[in-house]
Amino acid sequence: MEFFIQLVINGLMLGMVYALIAIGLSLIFGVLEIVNFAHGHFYMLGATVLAALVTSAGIGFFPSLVIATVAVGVVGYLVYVVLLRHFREGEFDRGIILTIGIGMVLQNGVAYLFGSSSRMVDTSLSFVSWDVAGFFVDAQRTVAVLVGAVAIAALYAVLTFTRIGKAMRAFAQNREAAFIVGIRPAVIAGIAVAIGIALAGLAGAALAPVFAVHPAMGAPILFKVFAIIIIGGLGSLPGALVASLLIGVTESVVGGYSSVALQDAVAFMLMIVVLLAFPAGLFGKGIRV
Amino acid sequence: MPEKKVILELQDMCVGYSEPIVRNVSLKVEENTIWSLIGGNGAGKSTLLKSLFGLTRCFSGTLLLDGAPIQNLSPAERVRKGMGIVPQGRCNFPLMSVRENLEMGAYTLSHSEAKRAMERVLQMFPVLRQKLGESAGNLSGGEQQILETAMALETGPRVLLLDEPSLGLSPKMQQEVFENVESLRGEGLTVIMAEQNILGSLMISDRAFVLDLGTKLMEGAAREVLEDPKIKVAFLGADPEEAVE
Repeated sequence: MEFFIQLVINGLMLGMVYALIAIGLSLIFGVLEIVNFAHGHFYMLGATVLAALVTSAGIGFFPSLVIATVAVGVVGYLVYVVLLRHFREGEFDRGIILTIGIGMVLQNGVAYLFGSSSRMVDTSLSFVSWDVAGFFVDAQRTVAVLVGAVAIAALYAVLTFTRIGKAMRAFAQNREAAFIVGIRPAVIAGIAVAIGIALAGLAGAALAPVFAVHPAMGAPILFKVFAIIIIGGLGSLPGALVASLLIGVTESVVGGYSSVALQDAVAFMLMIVVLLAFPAGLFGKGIRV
Repeated sequence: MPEKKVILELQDMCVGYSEPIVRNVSLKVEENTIWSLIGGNGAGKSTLLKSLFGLTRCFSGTLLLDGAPIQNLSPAERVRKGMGIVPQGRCNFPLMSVRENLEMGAYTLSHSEAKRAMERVLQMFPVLRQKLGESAGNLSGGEQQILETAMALETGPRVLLLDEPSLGLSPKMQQEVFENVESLRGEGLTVIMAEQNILGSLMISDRAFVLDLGTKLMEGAAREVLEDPKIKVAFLGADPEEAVE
């Protein structure tokens, strides 16, 4: 039983990080109706920037975390202004091709600038673990989870209580009505893209000391996150959170009791089962955010 | 009787989507009047109404609000200039509460102005006050229509465009909607309303504009249009021979 609980704790930690990436992806889809195939690469960019700041510039982990998140958010905003802003409604396929291209540029650009080999990031929390009620808790992972939880709570607060957050939800639910009340689509979409991509960068930066950092680390997590947002219901933020935790725990438990090879397939098997029972996903209503 | 000031003027406008749907429409709308926009299915009523708000493409012509051209302004800018619209179909945010919808209706206003605007429309439509915490998508069709009208009125528009406000409502609710529209004239608003319920619409209107396949068929006082034999036959189901008599 203790082993099972340990696996669940690990799974919740992993799920919280998935949630950061999935919620960002879902937010962008909800507002812009574009599936961002470069999203995993922004996760990689966050990890790379943090690795560079901590190992090369000697900056502390927490200041580096903030700098990496903001930097990736700014890159995301620029990508919106230069490329994504020009999309019109119904140009879904063009969005896919363009974001795949952006992902390739990011991956190869990082490989060119920082090299293709894996890098490890050591911080003051590396190799530190705590014994909480008999359970082993890794300090670095715990920090990543807490950072994720705070970011998700902050996003919830922005979407629920601020004018700009409500405008984002409004825009995602009914574009024409949003135009009519005077919401400016370019402003709202730009902010949503910057926030969504910054969240991916934050996840990468928070996990950089846990996993090896390399230019190709974005692609595998991207497909898993696609499965998560489909399970949660496309564009549903609560759905993305619940599905992330579900996948995190399931993966951890399956990996713990059976083969690690099976662990990576779990998200996709779960996606097939959920789609058979709930074609719109667990929280999908055909209306976003 | 003093002549009323022209608030909105269409000069030879051609509007549509990928190609013009409504062609060469000219019209002078006086302030504090109700206009009915009449026509059969596909006549271009909704297209014309949306074009006045910048939601469709203007191919040529000029749209003047208070004498200033606005045909190139965005919907947001037209809201700031004093226009509002309640388009056909649902035009609210269904997963947000009625309160949040009203907050979005006042999006272009400052915080204090928005608060005052919300209070003003809640006094006009008391039914919304009891539903502030409910999701807009859970309201009845009539209540959603009232909510959307309230949202459009929050910015204090001088020209309000209504597209099929009675569509899908029970006869009782339709009557209430027309009474609400009529009361807006008392508030000093100019209303342009596209309606399928031609009788109900013309009964409360001052003027009417009839479209047929994207071009102007007729324009005149609402009563005159109502009495016109062609209108009676085409839209009110009158027998052609009786209508002429």
